[in-house]
Amino acid sequence: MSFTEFLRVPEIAQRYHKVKQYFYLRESAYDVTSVCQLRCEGCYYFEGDKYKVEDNRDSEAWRAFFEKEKARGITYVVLAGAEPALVPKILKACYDVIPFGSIASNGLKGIDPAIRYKIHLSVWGDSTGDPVYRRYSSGKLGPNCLPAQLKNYKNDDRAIFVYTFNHENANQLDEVLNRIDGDGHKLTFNVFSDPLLNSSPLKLRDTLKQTREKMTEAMEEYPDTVIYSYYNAEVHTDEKSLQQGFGCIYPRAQQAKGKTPIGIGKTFRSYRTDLTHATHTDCCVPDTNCADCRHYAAGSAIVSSRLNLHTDSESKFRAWLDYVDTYLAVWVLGYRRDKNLYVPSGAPAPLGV
Amino acid sequence: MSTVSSTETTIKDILWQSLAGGSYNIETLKSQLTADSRFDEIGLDSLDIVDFFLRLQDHFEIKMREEDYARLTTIKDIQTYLEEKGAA
Ligand code: SF4
Ligand code: SF4
Repeated sequence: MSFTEFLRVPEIAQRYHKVKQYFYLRESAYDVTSVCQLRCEGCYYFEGDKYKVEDNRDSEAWRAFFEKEKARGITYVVLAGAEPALVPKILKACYDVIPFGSIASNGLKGIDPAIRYKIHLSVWGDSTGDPVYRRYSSGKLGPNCLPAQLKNYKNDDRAIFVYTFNHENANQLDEVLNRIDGDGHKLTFNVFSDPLLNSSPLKLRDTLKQTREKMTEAMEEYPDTVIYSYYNAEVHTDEKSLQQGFGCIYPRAQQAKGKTPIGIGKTFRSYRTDLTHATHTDCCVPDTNCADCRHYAAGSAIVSSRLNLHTDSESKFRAWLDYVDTYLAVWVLGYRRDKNLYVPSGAPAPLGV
Repeated sequence: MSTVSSTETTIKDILWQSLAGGSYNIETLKSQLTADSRFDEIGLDSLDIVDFFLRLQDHFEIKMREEDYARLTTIKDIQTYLEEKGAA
């Protein structure tokens, strides 16, 4: 069967039509501050040189800058840093201009409810692991972020928790998932991706299979809470990195390979806090090692853009649709994910979500 | 109608099928699109362009290499490409 034949299968056509309405999203990423309360192990922000620039703290300068970004065709912003919640005026300036986007936050401080972006709250482990992986900048044990996050985002529909699997924390998920589910929130997964220059002990080595099993178990046990698909689990725990499996489409990777950029490769920029960017770091996780890149944000762009690599069989196309449906549920406020269209053999039949 | 213009019409029809259900004003695009319009300049999104190329492959029963995507930026480019492949 071919692409146009797949589209004659009603459930495939329906899902394709659903996700297609978002093909117009054109994203860029912005580090809005270099200040953070924490120094998490292997945080890509504090790698390389990008955090050494001087922050622009003038929210009106940011507002004018976002106007230019909008004029450049950007329809979706990813605000990150260090910790965006520490610069509320800049977040407001951005939201006033481009009302579609998300914020990556450690959740220790709340964000003005009027800013209707999706908010990704990072979780690194349970009450034993999180404080060790996420220390204060003084080097002291960190605060255990989850209780503060749940308090700051109680009943907040913007929030989605992002659990980063590392080499040793697969089983710490149980406590975290239990609390997030208990509070009626959603959770998705990230996979620790090694920094380029300073390899971290948290890099997954022989634990990819265990991680996949844990992801799958969580999806099946908490189908309403866990926003993930079988294909997500396969892709992000494959021996091959995203770059090796799919080829990365970000400007940084395209430039490194001397390729003619297309799509996001032309328009994506990763701005630093002084409002500059450089093509050799223009990807969603600069200073991450491409050979180990399994990051959820990277996958959202890389796998989703590779429609053409998923049309040689119906099951691959179904898997791609699940991936895009998941990506939209993670990044777009109000978007609801549907049941999996792709179920690997041996897995239980899909449950409605 | 010449063979060339009939191929052009077919390519455009396939393009409209690709863009249906997306976020475009198809009527406006129809009035803007010429054989030389660059897809990115008239605001086509990259995934819609991939959808378009997949439909072209099915219709003309050809295999396109991914490297070709970046250089096929107009209807005219595609027409020439199909002619070179003996598919038009
Ligand atoms: S909270 Fe985020 S920005 Fe701050 S150190 Fe941790 S990963 Fe980095
Ligand atoms: S780190 Fe990941 S997203 Fe960035 S260029 Fe490398 S493969 Fe692409």
